[in-house]
Amino acid sequence: MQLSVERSGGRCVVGLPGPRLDAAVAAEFKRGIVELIDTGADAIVLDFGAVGFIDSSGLGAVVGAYKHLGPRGKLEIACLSPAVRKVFALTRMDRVFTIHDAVPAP
Amino acid sequence: MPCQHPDAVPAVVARAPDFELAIANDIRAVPGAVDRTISAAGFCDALSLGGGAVPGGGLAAGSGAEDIAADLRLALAEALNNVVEHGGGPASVTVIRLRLWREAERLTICIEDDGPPVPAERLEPHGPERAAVDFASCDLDSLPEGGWGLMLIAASVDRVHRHRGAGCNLLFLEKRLPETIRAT
Repeated sequence: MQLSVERSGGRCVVGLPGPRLDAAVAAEFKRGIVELIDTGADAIVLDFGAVGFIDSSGLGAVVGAYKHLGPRGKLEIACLSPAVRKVFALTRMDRVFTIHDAVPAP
Repeated sequence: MPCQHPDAVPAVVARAPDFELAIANDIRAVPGAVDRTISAAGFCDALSLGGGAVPGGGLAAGSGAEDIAADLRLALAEALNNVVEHGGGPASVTVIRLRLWREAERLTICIEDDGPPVPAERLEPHGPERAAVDFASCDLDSLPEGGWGLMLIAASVDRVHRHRGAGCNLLFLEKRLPETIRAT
């Protein structure tokens, strides 16, 4: 999975290639984010604009990455499609993450 | 939350399915199998992920078809993930079969695997009920990283039936179709 990473200021905006964040790619996605965190990123916005589907494995990878970042870091979510937003809501992860309609200005 | 009917098999299985597909026990086979099944269910327009409609389908945008297709996609993907990830691997589950029945008022999908019986403890739905997680406390370590599959299936379809057949596990997912999108 090719993540697009855009750094501005102290922040990383990570674009997911889509169209799915599912069990087939979840581990690879998490490795990519963990690598970013381990090389110094501590404020990350995940841009889901290209993602039309997430399953529990994909969501688990997002949560796992958030845990890896730790309480001092910031991981936020942007541009959820209705189907993806619904999974965040059903699992109540919409209460855990700050979710933006668009990638917020730095 | 739909009822669980542990031993009931939907009556529609008495007739031949409208679509059948056998896939390898491989997580990489899941997305394509889900796409093909949803397409076979008649959701061509609503199939494409992340927006733009696929031309050629019979179901109009805004009719609710997108929501139905999204619900089916999630339930089916979670059900297949469960078989692949918890079924004991290819030595235990050698093949996974999908069958689809279309009726005017509902769709029925059967996921069959030839693995051993599913242990009862794996059938306890998790999710928000379990998650007495105090999100407000920001206790990162207590956040779940999975275990939502059965809850998401239950939330996405109208009925879930499980049945142990002769050497196989059968999981039936039923989705009611609102009148606006009864295409058949």
